Amino acid sequence: MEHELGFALRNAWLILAIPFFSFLVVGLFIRPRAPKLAGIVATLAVFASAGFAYALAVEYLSLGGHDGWKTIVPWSFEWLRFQEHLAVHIGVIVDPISVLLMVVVTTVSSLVHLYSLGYMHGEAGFGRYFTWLNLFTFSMLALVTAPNILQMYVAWELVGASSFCLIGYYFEKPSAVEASKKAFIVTRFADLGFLLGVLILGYFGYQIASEAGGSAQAFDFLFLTNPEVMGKFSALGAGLFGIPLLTLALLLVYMGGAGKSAMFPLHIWLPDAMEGPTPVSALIHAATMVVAGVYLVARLFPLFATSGDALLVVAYIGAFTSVFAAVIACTQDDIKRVLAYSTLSQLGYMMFALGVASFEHPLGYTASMFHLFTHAFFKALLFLGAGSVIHAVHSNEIWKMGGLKAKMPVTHATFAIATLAIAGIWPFAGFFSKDEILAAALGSGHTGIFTLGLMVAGLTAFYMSRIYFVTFWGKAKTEHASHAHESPWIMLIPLVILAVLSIGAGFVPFGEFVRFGAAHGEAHGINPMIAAAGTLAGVLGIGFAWLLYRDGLAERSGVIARALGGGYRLIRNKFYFDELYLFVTHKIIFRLVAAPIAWFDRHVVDGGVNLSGWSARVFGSAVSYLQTGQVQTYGSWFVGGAVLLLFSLWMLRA
Amino acid sequence: MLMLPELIVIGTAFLLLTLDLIWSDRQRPALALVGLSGVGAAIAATLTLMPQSGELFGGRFAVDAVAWWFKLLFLIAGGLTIALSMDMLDGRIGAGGTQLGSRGEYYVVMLFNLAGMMYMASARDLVSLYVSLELATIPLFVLAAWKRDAQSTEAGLKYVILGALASALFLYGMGILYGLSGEMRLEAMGKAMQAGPAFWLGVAMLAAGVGFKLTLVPFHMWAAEVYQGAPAPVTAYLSVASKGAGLALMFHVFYRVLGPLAGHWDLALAIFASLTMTVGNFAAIVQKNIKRFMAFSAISQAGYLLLGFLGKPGDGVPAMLFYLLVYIVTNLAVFGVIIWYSNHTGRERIEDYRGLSRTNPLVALAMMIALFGLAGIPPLSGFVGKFFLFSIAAKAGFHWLVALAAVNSTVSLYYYLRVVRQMYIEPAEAGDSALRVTPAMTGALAVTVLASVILGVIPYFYETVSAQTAGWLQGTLW
Repeated sequence: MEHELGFALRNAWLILAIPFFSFLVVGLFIRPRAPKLAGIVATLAVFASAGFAYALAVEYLSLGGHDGWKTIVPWSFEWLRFQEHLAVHIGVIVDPISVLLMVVVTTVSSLVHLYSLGYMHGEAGFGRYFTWLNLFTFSMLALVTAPNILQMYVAWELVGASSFCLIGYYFEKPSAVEASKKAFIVTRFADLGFLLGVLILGYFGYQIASEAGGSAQAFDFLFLTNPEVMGKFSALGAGLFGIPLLTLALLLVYMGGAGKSAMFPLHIWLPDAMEGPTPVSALIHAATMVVAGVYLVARLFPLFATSGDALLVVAYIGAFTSVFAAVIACTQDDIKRVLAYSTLSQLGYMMFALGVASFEHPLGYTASMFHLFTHAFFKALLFLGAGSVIHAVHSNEIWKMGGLKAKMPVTHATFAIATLAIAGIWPFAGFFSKDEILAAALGSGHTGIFTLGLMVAGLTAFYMSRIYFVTFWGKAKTEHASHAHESPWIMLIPLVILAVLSIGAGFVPFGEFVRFGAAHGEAHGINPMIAAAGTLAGVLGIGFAWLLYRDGLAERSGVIARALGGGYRLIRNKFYFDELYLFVTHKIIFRLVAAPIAWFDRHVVDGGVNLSGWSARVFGSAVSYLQTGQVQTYGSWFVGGAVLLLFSLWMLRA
Repeated sequence: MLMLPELIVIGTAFLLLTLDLIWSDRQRPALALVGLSGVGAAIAATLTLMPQSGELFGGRFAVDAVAWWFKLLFLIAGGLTIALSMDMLDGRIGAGGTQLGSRGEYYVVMLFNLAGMMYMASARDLVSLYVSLELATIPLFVLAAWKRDAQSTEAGLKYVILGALASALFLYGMGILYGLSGEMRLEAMGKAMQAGPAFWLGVAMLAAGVGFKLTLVPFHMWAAEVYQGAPAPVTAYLSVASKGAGLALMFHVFYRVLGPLAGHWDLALAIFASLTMTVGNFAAIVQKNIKRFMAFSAISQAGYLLLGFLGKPGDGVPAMLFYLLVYIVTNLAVFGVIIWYSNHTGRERIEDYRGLSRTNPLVALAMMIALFGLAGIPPLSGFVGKFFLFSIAAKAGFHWLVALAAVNSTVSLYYYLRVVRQMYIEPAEAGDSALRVTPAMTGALAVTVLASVILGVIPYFYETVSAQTAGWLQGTLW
């Protein structure tokens, strides 16, 4: 085992240290003085961490993986020890999926930083923006490299906090403030489940670890996913309501993941989060943070697979979310919202891919990570492209664009590539990962989910082509759109790089790298039937969109919308989910639960708090009245104290 | 060789006396640098000698791991205090009247005091203990009265009177215990005694003397006025170094003199610890003057420190030493800001700090980090230090005490936040502009704040203390 580790692996802590120190330096010292410089330094730092992540990936790959990839923790230190087997560790875990995520996060983050230098040019909070962006990058890296669930939880909250700050970046805009609050509250609510799950796992993990002895740590992923430990977990038996304890704990953990990855019914925050600056949407709300939930399930996959039932829940919620969001995406007019619903739908895809995987059919695990990988590039590209368009047209509304094909050639070309990639057309990246997910669903016998997946593939192709045609084809529909100019080169470079990745990422021999268990028997390659079905769905979707929207006008689609009547309105209003939440929270929870609690809080709890504050002050004043300033008094207290001490020693002697 | 750090400190003090005589007024600001280099050399000597142990003078002076650590801590506190005093003694800064003259003597007196503390950490019999204790106390009376205005003089006088009282009691207690045991050597005393009424009387008197140095309730009364009246750097020094000396004294009394009989103390200790932290905390709530406020804060911190005596020495000793280190750097960071602010404005009320985050954001940030450290917010070192102390009390079965200590930490957060509120939420007064920060002050603040963060984040320091002191006293007493 004792390989000589390379420089990057030996110094794995740098992956966290670089963005963290750059966050500190930029935020504390550079931002107040030179915002411009803050942006440049922040960008350079993230590029440096990207370089470091690549070096680390290369070194890890060179360790070889013929008999499965090893999981190593090259750097870890104990911060606080509660007791044996229960300590807080901070470290870096290196295994295929963490390396994958490190590469994805640093790549997309550095491109988004670069893009933002152009996009945010001249904004008032330029320095503040880059400070948060750096904090986010650090937190996200701490999340993906967490070797134990406690560090992951801390980083999880940190990404939530930086996402909150960035959604509310335009804090003078009420809608942005609302959206940031909504995102924070919904995900925080979900994190409550995560925390409970962590506590359950930690509690029983501690018992198992202390039985086992040795140096086992209750929170370590390596410990939790150890086959023996998992066996003991599943032998724990029923917890609440007859649900086995392990399943219960995992469902609670999954609740946190579902919140972050915006799974139905916790999806409501993500579309609103588009109030943040567009590059933020690309980085946080498309490529990285929202896949944290998928990553969490993948990280704990052996446990989920042991439980079985928990994985089934993941599969069905994922599949439902992917259809549900895809249907809504077909009717939205705000380009970023369409992309947001598309993200929801694709996250559902990744989730159900994990859900259909099992110890016998682990292909879904590979497929899910593969899709995470390709999706990060083409979805970031779509968002950055949309940002470029918005930058030029000064509107998010697709019906105010049109005819941008000639005016913004680079943006147009890259957006088209991304659209084809997400639609799953060969040879673009989405084709390969989507194909693998469908194959995994069919191969593990989930025919229903396979059918849904195929449907979603068609819908995805349709709504993406819809915004593509309406935005870029036809005639300019507004004054701004007709005077649109191509964005500056600093924004175009990231677009081109991401476009290249969106084409090339599919050809990575991914199954060799990320797989579950030893070299698996399931053939990795293209199943012609599934590939044909998927491509057919994509082509149908694009063709249908071409029929309706090729001139960039709403006439033909309006006919269909009117024919659908109430159904269309239902979808267009997102199935009235926001209204449902508002009704439940305002009319039921606020009135029947919160109001009495508020009364109790105001009169009883606050009273108690005020009483304790008041008594503390009175006690404090009383104590300081003893402080008369007279040295005689002090002397008497001193001697009296000595006598008191004598008596207490005498009376209390053991 | 083993006495080298002490000899360096004393040598530096005499060198300063001489230089002060021959240097002109223009050259005298460099005296501080000479003093600092002396302390630096003593720190270097301590670090090189550190793992060794041995005795001199027939066992009257001995060094072991714990004594080295105490010396190191005193030297750190002394060095930082010299750095923090430079501005005030320089005379070129400040809103008139705050700067002091006679800088040469100031450093000399401080260095003698420092040497006294270091000797005390190594004292092993009654005579050397008492002599070094006096050397570690009497110069402080002088320093407290250094400003020579009404308040400072009052502080010095009160300190002298109560200090004499404490010293008398301590000496009396020593006499009684000597009479009972017939031993001068600290370690032999406990073994030669039975627990009887006279024994308890002697111990109570010793403890009163220790309580004076450590500011334990009800022996804390002097602290409020002395801290408020003394010049700010002296207050800073009193709050960290003198308290450290109190802890060293307590180590002698508790682990050596009482030795095998120390177990009888647990409940009484717990009660005095809870009294100290509670009274200190609640009195701090209503204070208006920031130095007086820090006096009560320091009293409550001494209460937390006492928790370490409840467990086995193997756990308690490193936890207390570590907390003392954390407390020294964190408290000096707070005092650094206080000294800086009163040098420039001459103001010392808590409200005077309003709007500091607008005018001097980095100084305000340093102050906030340090205050949060004192309150024990993770991941700052104050949290980690308290965590170890509390867990010792919990392991010893004093759960009520841990609960009380946790409540006290919460209360303390309230009053530390009062200062933060003034700095960050209250607007600056019109016309307030950024105040200059001298290089010496910048350096001292940066070192203390960074240390108070790093000590919490990186466990290396605690592990070193723990590893070096783990075998302490083993085989001799316990």
